[in-house]
Amino acid sequence: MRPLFQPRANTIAKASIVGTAVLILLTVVVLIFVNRTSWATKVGIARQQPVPFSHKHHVAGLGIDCRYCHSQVEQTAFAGMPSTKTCMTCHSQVWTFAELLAPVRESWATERPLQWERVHNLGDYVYFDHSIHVNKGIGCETCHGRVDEMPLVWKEKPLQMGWCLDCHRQPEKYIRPREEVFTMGYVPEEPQEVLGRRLVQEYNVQTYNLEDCSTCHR
Amino acid sequence: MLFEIGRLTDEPERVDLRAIREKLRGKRGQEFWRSLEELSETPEFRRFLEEEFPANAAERDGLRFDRRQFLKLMGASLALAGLTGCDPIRAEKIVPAVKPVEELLPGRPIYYATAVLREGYGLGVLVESHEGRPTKIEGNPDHPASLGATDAIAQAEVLNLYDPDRSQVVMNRGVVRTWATLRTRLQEVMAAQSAGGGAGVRILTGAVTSPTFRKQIEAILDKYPQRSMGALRAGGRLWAAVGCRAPLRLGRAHLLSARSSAGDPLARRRFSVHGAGRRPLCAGVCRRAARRRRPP
Ligand code: HEC
Ligand code: HEC
Ligand code: HEC
Ligand code: HEC
Ligand code: HEC
Repeated sequence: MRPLFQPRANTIAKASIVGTAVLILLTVVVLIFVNRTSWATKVGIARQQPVPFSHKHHVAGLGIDCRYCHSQVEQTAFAGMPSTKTCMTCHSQVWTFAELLAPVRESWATERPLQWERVHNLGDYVYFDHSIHVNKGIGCETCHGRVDEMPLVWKEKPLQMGWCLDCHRQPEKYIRPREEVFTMGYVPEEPQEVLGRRLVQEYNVQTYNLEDCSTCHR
Repeated sequence: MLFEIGRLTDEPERVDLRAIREKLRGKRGQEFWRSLEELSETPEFRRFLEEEFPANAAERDGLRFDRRQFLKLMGASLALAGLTGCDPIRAEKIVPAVKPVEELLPGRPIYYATAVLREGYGLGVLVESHEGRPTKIEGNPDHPASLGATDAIAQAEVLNLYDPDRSQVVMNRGVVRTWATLRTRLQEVMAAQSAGGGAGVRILTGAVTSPTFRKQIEAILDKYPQRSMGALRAGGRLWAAVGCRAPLRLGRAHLLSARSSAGDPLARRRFSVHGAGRRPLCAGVCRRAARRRRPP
């Protein structure tokens, strides 16, 4: 009778062990890689909204301050969203019959709120607070990019943990004067290394616990 | 004692529990357990066990489940367990108000100063409210009967708002009706009553101290002279005036008997004021005093 295992069985066994290990490693590497693509993070992908609201038009064109619409961004974790009434303060006067604005008028008439598609969405296991960042001199632009150049908002940064930590480890690289927080296209007047270190001192930025897990995962 | 729970089905009993109970009656300790052991050897009981806990139930019911299959299934479940982590963050919406509520910043609670009814009196409280939903009741420091504290009943009051047994709509014999229907029906009934001077009218309330509410009740009383005060008292007391219970001045007392305070609208105040005048380290003294003053 032929032996059950031929000599080459040894090679096959070794090859399959190595192969399995390589396969597992490859899967992990691919997953890590995929996780960083814009397909996974949605960076740079604009979302369709019920009303094609353009920041480019309203912010760059009309020069409206962020706080006119995101009014509570300095006070609470949530940045705030403009109510239908906020749009109607102008659009009951301008562009009153525009087809694009029909959902806004309908919302106003029926008292049913507009439903914006969320662009930036952290998992529920992460705590994020706008007010502390804005009050310590982190500009909207640092995290959201040139919103004033976006016809529809997209994500500029991946919002992954590594990205948060990068700044939490060295906020002096990104901090700016409080008056410039809402400015788009800000350029520091003096070298960022000097300015950053001074502002971190001046604004009393607490760096000792910024890398603690419990700061963001509470 | 062992088989005291009544049966909940009409199936005939497979084991004559009554007989077993009869056998065990009056037995104690060792004897009791020995009898139990004997019982478990009887053929009826064996049969009962077979039926209740068959050894190869799975096989009998057409389920083959051997070791290989077990390992296969376990392997698969272990491998698939990781999939539960692959839940993508779902698309969410941001839904702002149509007209912003003044003072309300979404994500930050608002505290309203209001009152909860206690024995007809208002107990001043602060209610924490998230996006219009009350979640927590605390005492109002500026209210003389609360002094910033509440008791268990006031704390629990918030649950009343979410009581699933509370009717959300007008119901009549289990059928949903409108407020308009109720009003017309009430008017009909009251019109019929006014012929008899309101002899059939009863109002059930808790204790009432509100002057407005009192006026409204009095208006009804005037309109239906035949109503009887007895009927009014059936559900509660009609308190003559507001403020008939002056807060006791207990600031300097050292001892306060902890009578039931559940029904006492001023209980919080009595205890807090009492605490303010108490000397530190009086615990031992108080206990001794309490022992001395305990009624014989
Ligand atoms: C005229 C009102 C208005 C002004 C001014 C305004 N926004 Fe917006 N913003 C909106 C509306 C409406 C949306 C929701 C529609 C969307 O996401 O495109 C929005 C969405 C956003 C989002 C995306 C939110 C999400 O879904 O994750 C960001 C980020 C943002 N705004 C930043 C800014 C910044 C920064 C400024 C100031 C430079 C600004 N906005 C000024 C009205 C405004
Ligand atoms: C400060 C006044 C003002 C406010 C507030 C305002 N808009 Fe506008 N909006 C304008 C003006 C002005 C135009 C442009 C008219 C033109 O260019 O002819 C415009 C244009 C638009 C258009 C036309 C498309 C485009 O971008 O050219 C849309 C859609 C629109 N607005 C949506 C909104 C929504 C949604 C809100 C509320 C979140 C809002 N607007 C708030 C002033 C305002
Ligand atoms: C440190 C980074 C950072 C800065 C600075 C920042 N944001 Fe955001 N923003 C975020 C993140 C992260 C989210 C997603 C929050 C979530 O999903 O809970 C977000 C979400 C938003 C949203 C959607 C609503 C919400 O709160 O979830 C708006 C609108 C917004 N930002 C506007 C602004 C404006 C305006 C400024 C400047 C005043 C600003 N942000 C500054 C990181 C930042
Ligand atoms: C560009 C810089 C920067 C980025 C990016 C950034 N942060 Fe921060 N973060 C800060 C600074 C500065 C502070 C203020 C530290 C202080 O003084 O307390 C802070 C504070 C915080 C706090 C503490 C708030 C509190 O109430 O104690 C939390 C939570 C936080 N950040 C979460 C995040 C998360 C989550 C992200 C990523 C989505 C993020 N941050 C991204 C700069 C940044
Ligand atoms: C500056 C804020 C911040 C700090 C500090 C932080 N995290 Fe995170 N963490 C995040 C954010 C934001 C995400 C979401 C990443 C994403 O959505 O891709 C995250 C995601 C994670 C995840 C992944 C969960 C998942 O399902 O992908 C783990 C695990 C985690 N954090 C653990 C930790 C641990 C452990 C620490 C302490 C060493 C820590 N984090 C500190 C912000 C933070």
